Amino acid sequence: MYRQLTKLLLKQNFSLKRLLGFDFKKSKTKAILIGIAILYALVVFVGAIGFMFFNLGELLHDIGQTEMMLSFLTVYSIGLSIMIVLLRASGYLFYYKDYDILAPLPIHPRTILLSKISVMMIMLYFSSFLFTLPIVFSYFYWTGFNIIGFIFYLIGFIFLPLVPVIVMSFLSLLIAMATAKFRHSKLISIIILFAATIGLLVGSFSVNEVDTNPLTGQINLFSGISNAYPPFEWFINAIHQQSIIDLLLLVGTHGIALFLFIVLLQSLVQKTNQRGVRSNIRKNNKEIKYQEQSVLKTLVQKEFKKYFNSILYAVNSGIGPVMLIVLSVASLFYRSQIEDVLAQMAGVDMDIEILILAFISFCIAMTYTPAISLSLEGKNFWIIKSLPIKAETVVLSKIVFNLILCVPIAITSIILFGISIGISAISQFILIGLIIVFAVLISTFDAIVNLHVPKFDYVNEQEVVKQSAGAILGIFGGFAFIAINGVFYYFMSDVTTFTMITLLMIAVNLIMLAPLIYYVKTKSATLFDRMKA
Amino acid sequence: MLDIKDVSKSYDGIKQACDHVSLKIEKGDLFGFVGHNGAGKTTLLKSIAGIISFESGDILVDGFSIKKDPLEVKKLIAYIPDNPDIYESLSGIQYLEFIADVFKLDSNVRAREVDKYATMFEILDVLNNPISSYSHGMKQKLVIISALIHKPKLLLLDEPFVGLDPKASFLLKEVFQEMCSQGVSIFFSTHVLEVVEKLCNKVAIIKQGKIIAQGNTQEIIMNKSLENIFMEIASES
Repeated sequence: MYRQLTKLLLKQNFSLKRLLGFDFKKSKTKAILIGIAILYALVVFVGAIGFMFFNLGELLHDIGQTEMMLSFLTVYSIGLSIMIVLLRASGYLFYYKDYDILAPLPIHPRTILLSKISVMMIMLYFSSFLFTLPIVFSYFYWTGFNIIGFIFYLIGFIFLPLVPVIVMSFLSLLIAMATAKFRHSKLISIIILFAATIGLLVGSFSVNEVDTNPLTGQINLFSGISNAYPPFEWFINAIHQQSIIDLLLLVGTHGIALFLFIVLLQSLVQKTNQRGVRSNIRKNNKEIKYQEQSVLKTLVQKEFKKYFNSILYAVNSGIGPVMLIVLSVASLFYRSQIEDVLAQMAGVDMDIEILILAFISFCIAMTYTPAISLSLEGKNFWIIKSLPIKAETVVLSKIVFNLILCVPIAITSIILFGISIGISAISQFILIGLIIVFAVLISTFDAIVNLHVPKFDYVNEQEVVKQSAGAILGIFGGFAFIAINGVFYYFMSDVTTFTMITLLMIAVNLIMLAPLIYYVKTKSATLFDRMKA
Repeated sequence: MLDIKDVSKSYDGIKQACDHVSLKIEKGDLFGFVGHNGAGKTTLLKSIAGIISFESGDILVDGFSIKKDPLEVKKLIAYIPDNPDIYESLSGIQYLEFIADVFKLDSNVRAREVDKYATMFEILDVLNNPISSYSHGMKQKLVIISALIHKPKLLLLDEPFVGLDPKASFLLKEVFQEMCSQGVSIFFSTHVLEVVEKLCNKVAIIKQGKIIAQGNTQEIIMNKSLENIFMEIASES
């Protein structure tokens, strides 16, 4: 039964149709175009990270410390696992949505639990493997490939995250239980997760090292972490020294931990799912005050409610503005280091103004709500479709919401960066103009993406927010627009001043924006009509 | 009020979910729509509401075509689906305000209508609570209220009595009759043949996408029960 159930759950969560949002056999052209776009996204992602780690591998090879690469592997892999489990364990294990379907079936609860854990772990291994692949490649390239080391790596890779996963699963449950007692439980969870993410980001960027490769600043920190936590050391020794004892220690301890986890969890999972998350909703006798407003305003308001009611949605698409505000405020207190941090993030040496511009543009591209918000209407899409609202008004509301989310923060950050590094008022003004045009461009592009690749048929919001074609195309399409601006800057930087280039970039972005706006105005209704609600 | 002209719809290009369907619903009609599961009832209702498109034919509401003037049609209608999937991130009152904003109801009208129907269906005291905390029946009541507050000329309902408690079902039937007496047309699908028999002045039976019987309820059933008629017609090949 375990095999059938796991297969079913995997199909339910990760089939191509679910990931893409449409049947690729029926829409071959669309599938090819999306395939190319996903390939582009993968190449950009793996290529950028791969370059940095290859570079780092060379440096470590020169000083004879290639095993340090494995410290990076462990810390990144575990960091990613922690984030995934913290966000997802509660939904995968303790309060799963298909409990009502599975519970009445004659399947042993332990089998259901094992299947659920397996599906969560497969998702975790897949993400972690993809993210750490460049590190593994760089390590074996610079140390020389050997089959035993590689097999030990594969075994260790499976067992290493188990203890952090167990700890984080319980933490995830505790957060879900604790925050359920508050009226604004979702908002509290969002704040906690943002704080954790920012903490990780701050920790991962050293502000002491001046180097264009951000990874070199992390060597001491990561090797320190590896030394402090014995399983990391076992993992590293097992691979680097092909130490079978270290591998057995890792497999033995983590295998026992997993066994105990399953035994302990079995009754707990049943109890939590039987009870469900009970939000503390008291009767609200507040007097109802009716207020008329425009359709656009009421749609935008609805978007806000949806956004702050979905932890996954808010954390994933809201990290850009949060990073912006954190770094710009930090720049007031750490002026001298901010240039190094931005250079580390960009991976190249550039003028501070252009670095700030690149960083703000990156954060705006990461705010991709219009690329997924139509999909997130999900089962509620019938409401929008049956109401007398123009399709372009709905699209406009998605764009406006995204602009409200990122533009005021982007403007504030330009002013704060301006104060901290001394950008003139005129330059700030022009930068603000450019950022507004860029934000409208990205938001409109994202909205068009979602019009073309909507995905209403999802079980969990994660499928839309993190895995859908809309999300991938939205984010990496945004990066492509940054690249276009970057190329323009590169060619113009020797010809004219920064201020003039910025003004010209406003013009370039407006030229790119015009056809997109025309497209939204003329095609939204047709595309809406084709969507199945 | 509602003129369905030779409408055909297929989801896969092979099987017809609606096969050359034609129906006329006059002002004040209370029209019941019955058929097996998968016969095409929901498809037709969704097509009228502009939720799904159809390949051929046309649907006119008060002279406006859903294909050519969808917004004009949607201003005249209210649609209630078989499953009350509504925005769970909103509170009940926020959802009703949203609908009222879309239909541009002024504050006084929305206050009066919401108060009237929320009191009637006994959910006034939970309107400030999030929809996510509502039961299936409460959500169904909220969707019904959202459809009634803007006074549509045509009310489309897909299995409206499913999930409602007996009192709410009774009240909804009363509301139906009151609305029809004021000239509103109501077109609803149901499996409860007794309701159609007692409540509706007209009925249509759909089988495999085709309308196989339609007309005045009394003329269709004559001296038999609608259940007998339905079983007879449905069993014919």
